[in-house]
Amino acid sequence: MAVPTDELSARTAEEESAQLAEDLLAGRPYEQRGALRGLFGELWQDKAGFLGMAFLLLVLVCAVFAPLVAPHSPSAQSISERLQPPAWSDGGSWSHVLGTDNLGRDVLSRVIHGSRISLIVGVSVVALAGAFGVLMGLISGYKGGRTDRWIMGFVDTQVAFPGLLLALIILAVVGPSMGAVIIVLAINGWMVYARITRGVVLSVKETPYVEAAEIVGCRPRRVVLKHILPNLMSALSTLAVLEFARIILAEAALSFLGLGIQPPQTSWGLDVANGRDYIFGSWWLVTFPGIAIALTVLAVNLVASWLRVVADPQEREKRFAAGATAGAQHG
Amino acid sequence: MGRFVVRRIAQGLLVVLGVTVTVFVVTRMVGDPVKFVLPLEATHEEREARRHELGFDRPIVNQFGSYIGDLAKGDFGDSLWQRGRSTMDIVGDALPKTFQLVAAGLLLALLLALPLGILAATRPGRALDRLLVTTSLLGLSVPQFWLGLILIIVFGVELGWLPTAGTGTWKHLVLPSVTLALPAAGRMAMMVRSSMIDELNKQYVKTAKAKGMPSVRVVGMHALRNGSIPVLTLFGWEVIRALAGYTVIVETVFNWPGLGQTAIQAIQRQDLFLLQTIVLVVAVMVVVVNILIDIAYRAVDPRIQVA
Repeated sequence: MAVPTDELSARTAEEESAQLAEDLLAGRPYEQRGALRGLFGELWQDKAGFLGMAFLLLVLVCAVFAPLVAPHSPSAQSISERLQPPAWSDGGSWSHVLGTDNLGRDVLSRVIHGSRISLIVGVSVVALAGAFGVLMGLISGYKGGRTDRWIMGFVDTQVAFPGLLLALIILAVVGPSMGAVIIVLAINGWMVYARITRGVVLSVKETPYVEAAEIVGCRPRRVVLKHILPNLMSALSTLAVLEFARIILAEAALSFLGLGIQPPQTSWGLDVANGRDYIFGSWWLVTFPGIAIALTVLAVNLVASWLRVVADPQEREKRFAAGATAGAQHG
Repeated sequence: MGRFVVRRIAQGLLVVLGVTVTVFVVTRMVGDPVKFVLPLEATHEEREARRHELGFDRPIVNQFGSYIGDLAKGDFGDSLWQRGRSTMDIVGDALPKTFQLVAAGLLLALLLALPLGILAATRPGRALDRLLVTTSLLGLSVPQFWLGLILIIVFGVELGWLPTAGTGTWKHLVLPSVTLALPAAGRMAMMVRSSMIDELNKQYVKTAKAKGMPSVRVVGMHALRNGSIPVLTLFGWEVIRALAGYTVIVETVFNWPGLGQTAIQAIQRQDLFLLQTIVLVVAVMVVVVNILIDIAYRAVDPRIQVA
């Protein structure tokens, strides 16, 4: 008998707390909505953002499980099956849905495997450039004075550099490879994080709670990490996602120019470059890897514009307040 | 104004110096310049002889000193790829082609972006506005080299209307400049739109409307003048971006013999000295355009204080 009683009381407690939460939230419609709706719900509300996120998850699954998802090996050549058109065209076959390239390799399998490079390069560059840029921005904004002038002077100078040309030269000199692409793109892209971080630090530094933390004796490290850094999350998360999209395009462009990813690795940009020589007869070689790039970058951009609203407390306030008034009018 | 220009020129010289030093350090110290210049199968003796001949065996500070000295005399060095030609001569041949492309492309972008952005801003949320926002986002997501190739497939290969590569007639310019224009037009149209929406919601616009001024005049005379300032900034940024080497992609796709393609050829032909000159010229152009934009910016908007 003891067990069911426990279960019963547990359920009552749960119901009680739910009742309590409901009472607390009564008359505050937008908080109630925010509390009831999880992050998923918010995402579902923004249909474009939801589609973007769903597509990105699909790309992620393809990248992680590429050997299982892809119908063929991306490097398996078959001269007898070279330059086959996609399945729905004349002369195409369903064993190579998106056709084959000049060496008889399956285009679909290469597109699936190519997603790995895009994601790895994108995530690594954002992590490297973001970490270094945020660190520089924190130091610059928090220390101020001469340190600030030096770091920001350096940022201003480097921003005026012809970045793409320098990237091409560095890649040509050190020899193109995935690691080199990641480092070159990170060197080219850290400045924007430093600028944004510094701006937020400057606006937060004079607030009473930061001063209070300093007065009670927090070390600078603690002030920066515990009190200042959390304010950056909204701006930085959106920036990181937008930069991720930019980096995917940059990697594709470098690989297209022959100074990025090298065979036998597969990259979307590399495959487009390869298909260029067959553009007069075999349109599918250029088209499908390009569509993969465009859709992925579009998905990232859609997620970014959703995140911009959701991650910013002020934007959230506007949005849910607007939703609440609309709901009240309907009700 | 005078002090401001002087300070900007000093800043610009710093940028040019920084770029030159970066290229020097990257090519002389990070990589082996002889390895870059000679084919892989060259013997050790050949390498050392070449190293001595080109002066790469001297300390890097000496090399940099004599490079700057030569520049001061107007000697930009001879090309390794086109023997006996000055590198500046090659750059001088390529530069007008790039200017032509950038001018046509960005003019087209402006002609597309201004009317579309303004129309969308006058009726935000309507069909045209939503269409513009969607296409712009799409345009930002499409890789430029791919856009060019798709245009080649459609208009060059399938329809056969336009030539797919090279220069010559005005027809050769159409596809490259459209490829250059579309992404820029997307970015600028979004900027025109948001900037005009901001302006059209301001009090002075409401006043002008309330006193019965025709809306063409309100939008065209009052709002556009104020709304064009952020657009001008973005347009300047597009010019700088194009001159800073981003035409390399369009030029490669369309085999357009401009500066970008020359840079790629210099890399492929391992012509270190030509590369140095290209980067130097690009850096100077970027700095000059930057200063010109800052001056124009202050001329259009008297609210900006000359610091």
